Amino acid sequence: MFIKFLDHDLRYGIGRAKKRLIVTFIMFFFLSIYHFWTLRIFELTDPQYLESPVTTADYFLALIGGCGKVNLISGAENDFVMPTMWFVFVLWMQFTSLYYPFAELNGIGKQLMVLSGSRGNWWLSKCVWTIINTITNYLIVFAASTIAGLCFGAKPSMQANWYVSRELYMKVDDLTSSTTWNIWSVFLMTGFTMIVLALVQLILSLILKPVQSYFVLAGYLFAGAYIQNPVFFGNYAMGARNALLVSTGLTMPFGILLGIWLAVLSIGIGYFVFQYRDILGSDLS
Amino acid sequence: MKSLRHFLQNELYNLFHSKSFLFVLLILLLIVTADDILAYKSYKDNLQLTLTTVDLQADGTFAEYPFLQIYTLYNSWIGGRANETLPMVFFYTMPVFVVIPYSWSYLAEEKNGYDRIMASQLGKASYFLGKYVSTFLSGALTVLLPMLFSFLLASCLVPAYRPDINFALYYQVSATKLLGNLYYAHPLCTAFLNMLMIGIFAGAWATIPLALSFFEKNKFVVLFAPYLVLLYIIASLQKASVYRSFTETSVLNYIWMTSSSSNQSIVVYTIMTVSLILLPLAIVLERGKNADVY
Repeated sequence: MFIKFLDHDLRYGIGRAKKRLIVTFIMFFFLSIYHFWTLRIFELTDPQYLESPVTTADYFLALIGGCGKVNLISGAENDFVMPTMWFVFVLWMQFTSLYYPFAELNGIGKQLMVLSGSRGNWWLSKCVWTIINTITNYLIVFAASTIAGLCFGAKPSMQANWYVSRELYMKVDDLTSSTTWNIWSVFLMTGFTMIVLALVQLILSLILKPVQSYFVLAGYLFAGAYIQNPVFFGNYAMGARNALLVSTGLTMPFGILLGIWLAVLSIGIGYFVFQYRDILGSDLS
Repeated sequence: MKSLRHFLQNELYNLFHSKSFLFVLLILLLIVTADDILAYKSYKDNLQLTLTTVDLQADGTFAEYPFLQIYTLYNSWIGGRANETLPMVFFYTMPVFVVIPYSWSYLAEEKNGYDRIMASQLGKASYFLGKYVSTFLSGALTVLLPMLFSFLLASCLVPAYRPDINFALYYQVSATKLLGNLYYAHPLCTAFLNMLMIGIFAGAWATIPLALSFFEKNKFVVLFAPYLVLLYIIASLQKASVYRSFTETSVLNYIWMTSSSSNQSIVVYTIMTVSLILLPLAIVLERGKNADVY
């Protein structure tokens, strides 16, 4: 029964959402191109940055890197620059998995649940759908930035050059390398964080309704952009705050443990709440 | 016109009794209260530090210049606080929370047929104008009520010292900001002008989903797609203008007085605000005139 639910979700929630997937690709392809613009400036101001070849990893890191740690000192110049590009990325990723589960529930989902006689399978199927949908969208973002890089002459590689740190407002003294970083682990950690946040959004949607949950999650993510702390889990999706890149960054093992705990908690609480909540008589849109 | 007035009264009654509005208001009141308490703590810590480090003279005045003005009412309410987390959350999530209470009401009325009843009673033009005005007011009130509360609470906790230009770093309001010069001369006036700017933006932003609902019927897309588009535009302009131009292009940085923004231009701000007001209004009136409601 679970497989049938999942098959239905994948077909309708991803297979028939081609328009959304195309929009994701176009959006992030064009956002990635801005890195090329910045490189043209660096050619004039700091040509030494470009001594080693520009890679596709530079494009990807510039897109999803966020911003370095902010020093919150009263009476000092505010050095915080809003990582708007990163917000477009995370809020879009959350948006892509926001409405399908509950739109389906208010449509055919209720009938399917009654016919199958299993609420648990419905919920677990939506959790797995959320994970697969997030991975799909994340891979599209990665493909978009990689293709944008290749179009502008970048070398296909996951070795990101250190000069990207300037674009991400990272402090030079804190960098762990003065040449390159292999960003495979940053790539995986960012994807993992997106999955966990999508699952948290799913349980919040069940408790608060999807519209309100998006507001709460957006506020949580904005607070995290200002405060570098594991409590604000969105920090793990910022390459610029990863311990691989900066000595003051957040370590991945703890992030993975915290993420697994959050994901299991979200799925578990959702499973429990879903069993006892009046789903059939309420409007969760 | 009497009917339109009754319609607006009814719409505002519905707004104030909707769960979404109360939910958003509750969250915002919690945010501004927490922020005011943190502002009060900063003020109190500074006062205690001053009293322990600066000697008092025989006549009760300070022997040295006390740095008390670094915390004043005008940089303690949510719109004036600098380098803090909660004001940033408040301003950057504003386009999300102002649309939650009422911006989708037309879509809901279209679904349950209420729009047909009202349009036949009021006339199409009056109904859609009333819908625009009530949606505008819902957005503006959603943000103005918590801000007024924050200002009143802060004024109960922190003295209203006039901001001193020597402590400009503590206020983060420089001459490059639209209200930068007025801030030091007439701070109270500046605070209310700033609230007005924020209220106009919030009201205008709340009407965008109303205009969009003529073209798209998915509630989530109607409510949140404009916000994502706004962030996309801000990110694009930020990246496109980096090292090339120092004129501020983010509307959110214009309305947030203490944001870390570049040079603010009155022309850019006016164009953005007028566009935000007129475009949705034109769409609502034009599409409303041709809407197939009866």
